[in-house]
Amino acid sequence: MKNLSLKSKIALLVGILTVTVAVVALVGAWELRRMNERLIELVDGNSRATELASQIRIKLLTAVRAEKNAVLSPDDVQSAKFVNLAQSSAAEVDDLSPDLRNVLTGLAIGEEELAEFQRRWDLFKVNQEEVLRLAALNTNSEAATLLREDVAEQAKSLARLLAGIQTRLTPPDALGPSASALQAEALIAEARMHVARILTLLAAHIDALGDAAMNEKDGEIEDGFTALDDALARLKAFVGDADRLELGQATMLIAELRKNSDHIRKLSHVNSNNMAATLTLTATVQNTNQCDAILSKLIDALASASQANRDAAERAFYRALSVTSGAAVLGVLAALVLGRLIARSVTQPVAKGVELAHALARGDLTKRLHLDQRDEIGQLTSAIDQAADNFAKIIAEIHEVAAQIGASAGDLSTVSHHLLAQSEEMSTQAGFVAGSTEQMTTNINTMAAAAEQMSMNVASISSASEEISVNVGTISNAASDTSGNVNSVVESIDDVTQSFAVVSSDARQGAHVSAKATELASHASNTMNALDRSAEEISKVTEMIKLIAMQTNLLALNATIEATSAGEAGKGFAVVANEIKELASQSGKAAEDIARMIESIQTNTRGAVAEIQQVSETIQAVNNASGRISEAIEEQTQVANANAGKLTTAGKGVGHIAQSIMEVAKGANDMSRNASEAAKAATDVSHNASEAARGAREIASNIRGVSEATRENTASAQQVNQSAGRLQQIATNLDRIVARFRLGDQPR
Amino acid sequence: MADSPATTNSSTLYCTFTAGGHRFGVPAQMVREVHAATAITPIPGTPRAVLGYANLRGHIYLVLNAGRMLARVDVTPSSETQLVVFKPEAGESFALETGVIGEMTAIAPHQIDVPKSADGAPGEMPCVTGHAKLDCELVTLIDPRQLLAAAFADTSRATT
Repeated sequence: MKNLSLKSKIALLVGILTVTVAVVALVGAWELRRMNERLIELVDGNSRATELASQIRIKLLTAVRAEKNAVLSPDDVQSAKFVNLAQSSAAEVDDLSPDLRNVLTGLAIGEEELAEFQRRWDLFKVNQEEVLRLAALNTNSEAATLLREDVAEQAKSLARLLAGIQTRLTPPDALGPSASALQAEALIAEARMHVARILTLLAAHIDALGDAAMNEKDGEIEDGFTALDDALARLKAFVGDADRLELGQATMLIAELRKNSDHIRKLSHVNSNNMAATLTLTATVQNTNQCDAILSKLIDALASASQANRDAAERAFYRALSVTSGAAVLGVLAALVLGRLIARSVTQPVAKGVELAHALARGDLTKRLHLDQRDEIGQLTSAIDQAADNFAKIIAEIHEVAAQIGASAGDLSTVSHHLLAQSEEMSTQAGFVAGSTEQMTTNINTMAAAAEQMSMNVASISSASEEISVNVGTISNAASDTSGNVNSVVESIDDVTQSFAVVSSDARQGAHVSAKATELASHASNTMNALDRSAEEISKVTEMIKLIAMQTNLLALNATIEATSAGEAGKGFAVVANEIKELASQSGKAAEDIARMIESIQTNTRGAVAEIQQVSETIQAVNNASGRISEAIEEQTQVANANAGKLTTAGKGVGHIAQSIMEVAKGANDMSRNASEAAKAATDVSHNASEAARGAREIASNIRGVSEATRENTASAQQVNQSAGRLQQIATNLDRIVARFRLGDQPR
Repeated sequence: MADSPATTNSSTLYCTFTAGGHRFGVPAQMVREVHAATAITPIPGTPRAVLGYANLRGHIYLVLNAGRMLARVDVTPSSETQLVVFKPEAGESFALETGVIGEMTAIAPHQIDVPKSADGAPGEMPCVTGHAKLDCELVTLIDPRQLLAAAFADTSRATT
């Protein structure tokens, strides 16, 4: 299950649900169809058959009732109407029977009952025809009517006649009836009795059910008529002529009565009403009961069949309900189980993914999902694991880079400290050089002043020499002057010598200072070169830092890309990547700032080196000039000493002035020449000293520039140190950021 | 940078880079990684836009030149040259050599100006999907999926 794709799982779930719905629909449709068939059978068949059977039964009972009414109806018109009704009802039954047969044939039930009913019905119809025929005849009613009306009237007429005769039997004035009257009255009473008895017998005859009873009544009626005739015959003996007519009328009346009685008896013998009633009460009832029983049985069978159909439909309904419910429950259970399995296959990995995302957000990069699933969830978790692996690698690389940055920052800080120290030392040395140079400048100025003084003195010597040379002729007079001049020359030469000594000392000191300045300049140049090399190294480190910053930026970009691919789970990655990018940017900017500072330092350093080189060259030139000055001064000192010696000899050899005047003149010329040369040398010395002073001033200026550059370098070194500190801080922050993440088994 | 998903609300995250003095952008979700410039082995007989093969951690990628392809200029490789490696959905194993890779920029649809015709402006590459007007510059948006086809549709051949 876990290796199926989500599409397959969902398709499986949908398939199960679809199959369940299909099964439920099919079973429902099948059972509903069966139920529909049952219902149709129930409605079209059983109900129709029941309805027809009920109608037949109703028509049967209607026919029976009409038959009975026809039998009971005394009126022929009424009887005929009931006969028609019974016949029409029977005809309707005949019309309904085929329909019922067809329906029952279709239902395949009640066919035997229907056949039995048909047979019974045929008997019923035969019986009914007879009954109706008898009912239509209505002989008993007719006889009763005849009896009730004609015969009764005749009896009343006869009674009146006999009453009249009886009345006339006893005259009103008679004291009582006579014996003949009595006998006549007795005969009249007997005749009345016989008439009444005949009427009674006729009524009994009409009401008699069987021929035996009617025959018996016939005999009694005949006997009654015979007795009546006899009574009237015997009465004739007792009546007068007046009554004989009435008696004859009575006899005729009796004859009509006899005729009516015969007719009544004849009608009574037909006994249609009774026979009809008998048939109605026997055969009709039997047939009716049998037909009704068959119909009831048929209706019961139909009801049973309806009940059976209803039960079958109900069973079908419950069966459909059971199957549908069971299929639905099974399908739902299967869908629930499958859905739970699918949900578990999705939610569990997702929950593990959420847990992994939380772990990644907390910084724990050691956790992985490692789910053995090949569906989309498994592919997603594999991708998340891979993203976590990549991110862990990125963090590890960032940590390594941060360590490198930290190490490089440490190296840079160390170098910057060293650079700062060297810059400070160089600044100090430059200060010393500047001071020494100032001192040298002062000395050179002094030397220049001394040289100037020397030049002036030499000029004065030259003037004096010229004056000596010009005043040769007056040497003798000016011997004392010469002596004084010589003395003054000697003193001047002594002053010159002292000045030369001072100049020489200053020149030596200047040379010494120049040498020291050269040494310091060389040392400063070496320091600058070392500074330049350090700056180169710092530049290399800065390039390394820039490279690391660039790589860090690349790592941040890749982390951002991975975070983008991870979607919502990569939000934490994206935040960290952004911070890393910012740190990389800051590192790059710090590296660029450091590079610019290094470049500025290098430019200033190279400038300082060049200036120091110029200083060195100038110092060397000054040194050379000082050397030349020293040499010239030595020469001049020697010359001055020689002149002083000569002049002293001249002072002592005044007496040899004349001889020596030439020599003095020569010597003065020589002295003048030498003084000129010395003046020129002194001028050269003064010029050189001026140049040296200018050079020393330039040196001092350059030294000040070097000192300024050194101060700037110091300031730059401080800035580099600060930048190194910031870079180290950045490295520390980067390391702190990545320290949140746990890689492998060792916490970071 | 905005939220980490490739789209922020309705904005889309683009990886921007420079080539031939112009700025271009590709959807970040199609980028696999960015890499520093590395040695490329030229392939004779390939179009001018194809620089050759590069080996990145044991995988061989076909490298296209963004300057020749997108800006129609020859860009000399420098220390700022970088490689944008695309995911397989954009094309199989290929990368784009660019200049400096800049920020990941979220661009909203209202900032994008889509070319009116399917082929874009005259002379414009078919892989150009639009131009984004940002605060300080114009960024041309590229569909990486059409880069390979566009590169090999170029009939001019490299001399080496």
